[in-house]
Amino acid sequence: MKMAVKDKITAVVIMILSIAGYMVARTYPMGAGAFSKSIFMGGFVLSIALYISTKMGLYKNQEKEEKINSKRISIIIGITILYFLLIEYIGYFIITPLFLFSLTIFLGYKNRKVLFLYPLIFTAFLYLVFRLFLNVPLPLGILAQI
Amino acid sequence: MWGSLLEAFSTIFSFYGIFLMVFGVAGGITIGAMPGLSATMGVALLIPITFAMEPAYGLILLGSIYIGAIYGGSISAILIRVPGTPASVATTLDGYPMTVNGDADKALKISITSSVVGGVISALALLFISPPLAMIALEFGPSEYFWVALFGLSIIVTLSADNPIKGFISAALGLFVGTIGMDPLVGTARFTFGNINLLSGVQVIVLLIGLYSIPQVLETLESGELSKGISIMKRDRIISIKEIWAEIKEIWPTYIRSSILGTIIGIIPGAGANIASYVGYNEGKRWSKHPEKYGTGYSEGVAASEAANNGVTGGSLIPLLTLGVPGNGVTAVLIGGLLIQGLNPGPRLFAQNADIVYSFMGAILVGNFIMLVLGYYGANLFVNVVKIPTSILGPIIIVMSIVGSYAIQNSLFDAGLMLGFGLLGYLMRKLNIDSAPAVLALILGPMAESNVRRALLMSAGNPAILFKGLINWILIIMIAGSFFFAFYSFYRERKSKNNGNSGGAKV
Repeated sequence: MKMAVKDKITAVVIMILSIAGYMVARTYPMGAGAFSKSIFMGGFVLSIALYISTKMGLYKNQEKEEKINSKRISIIIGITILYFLLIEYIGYFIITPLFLFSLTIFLGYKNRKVLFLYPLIFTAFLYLVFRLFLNVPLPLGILAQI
Repeated sequence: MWGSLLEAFSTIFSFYGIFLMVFGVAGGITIGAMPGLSATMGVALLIPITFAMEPAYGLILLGSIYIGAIYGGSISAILIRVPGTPASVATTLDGYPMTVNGDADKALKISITSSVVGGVISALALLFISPPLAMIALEFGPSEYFWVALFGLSIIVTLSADNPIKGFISAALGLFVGTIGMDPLVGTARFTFGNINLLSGVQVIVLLIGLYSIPQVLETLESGELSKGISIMKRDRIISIKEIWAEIKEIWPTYIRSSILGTIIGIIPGAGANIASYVGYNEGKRWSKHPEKYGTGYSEGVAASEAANNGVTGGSLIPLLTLGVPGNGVTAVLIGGLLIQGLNPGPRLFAQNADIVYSFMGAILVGNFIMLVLGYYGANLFVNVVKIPTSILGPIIIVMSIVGSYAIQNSLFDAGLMLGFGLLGYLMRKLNIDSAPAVLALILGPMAESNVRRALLMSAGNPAILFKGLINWILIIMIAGSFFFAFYSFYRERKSKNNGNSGGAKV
């Protein structure tokens, strides 16, 4: 997609969000709402400025080559979100090594010894740092029921 | 001042203090040497770990990581021509040719010595300039602070954004995030959408980890570059201390010039270590007796860039400690570190927590000497980290980001928020919107808002109070100047590009 087109879409999205935000901010009492309202007014003006600037040919001679590999990046983001969603239910100890292992394999790493060992070592190391050093309990998930 | 400094040294030179400095500097160098891990990301990822420490020790660790990371970038810049951090891009210009000529060892030693000179000079500037500046800043009232915050915002947008409109959009996002939660003066819940987790506002550090680590990792993993690790060039000639000393004697004016330039650039909000290294390099070339040697593997070129980028370290902490204004990404992250310790950066910090401030400043100074030893003898060890493939490093950073943002308040909500900001940051990168203004606005926005409202309360709603006095007017004129400069330079640059002239290296 060309930058000018992306900018137009961005401008429209920001404009809609600014109007919506302004409507919400209007419901606040005067002192609390004034600053928020001015941010959204600024956002509105900026969205118009961005839209107009796309018409001025600012990106002539400098379109960057698109490097989005959408399939690859969607899977990476998908695995990451899945990790976050499952950490509470399955627990840090089980899900973290699985996440490290599966993402590294997906990214094409092949050395088997490292592939199996590093997720375990890193998971244990991070646990030591947070649990023993910082006293932060990490989510146990299903392990808590045992 | 001297009393506080002496007291601070007892903290710094305690066993724990020294351990943290060695660990921090070594960790910083490692992070800096890894391409894809910037100093900002490194400090952000490690802030959750400092949370459990006493504030002085936490800051000693963060400061040591900061200086180590800015230097560490030069190692990979010199040996494999991949700058470990953006601050070392100019170092590749002469550093890598030196490696090709078989002078890698010399390049590394010039780099560490110049980094340390830059670091020490800027640390001394920090120690001697900050306390009197803080005294002046103590006189500032709410209206002055309001303008200071606005000035910080405007100059940051000016200097960091490629396109000022997009810079301001990014800043508006940060300002919006800053208003989420209970309003600071009257307690109205704003934009919390009934979510109890948002009542206390968005933790600065959550936004920081999200915007600085996730987008970078996603982009590296997406491209698949470097995922197999890199082989490192063998070094040939080993240089003795005597030879290095002789070399330094010849090019010492560059060391000093770049260090001072770096310090000054560091003080200016918005201009970070990457700009300093370019300016240092260009000025080095301009004043050099042998400008023709620049770019061919000339040690002076390495020194010119490296002294300047480490010069930024101390300089950039001056506005942070005296005014509470972050000048660049790393200092914004450091503010996040101060805030989770319950410390409010600004001139009052000098009065109320002098021990902490002086330990921090002292650690920046002493840390440089630790860095000298580690870098001088260990540079070739640190470079091994670039052998770690990104397919392993990337997932590790994702886990650290999620677990780290969770750890601050034991809140999975924070971890999710961090991930959300991370994805937003990735999208912003694709749209060419710089995320730095958002981060700085998140810090400066609440500062601007609470001060303007406090000023208006004091004047019973009369806005004239914002325009009273000389300091207010100086600040207003500076803000107007930075706006004018932003749009003028944007216009000029586009015009020259549209004429088909792509111009030189963008600084």
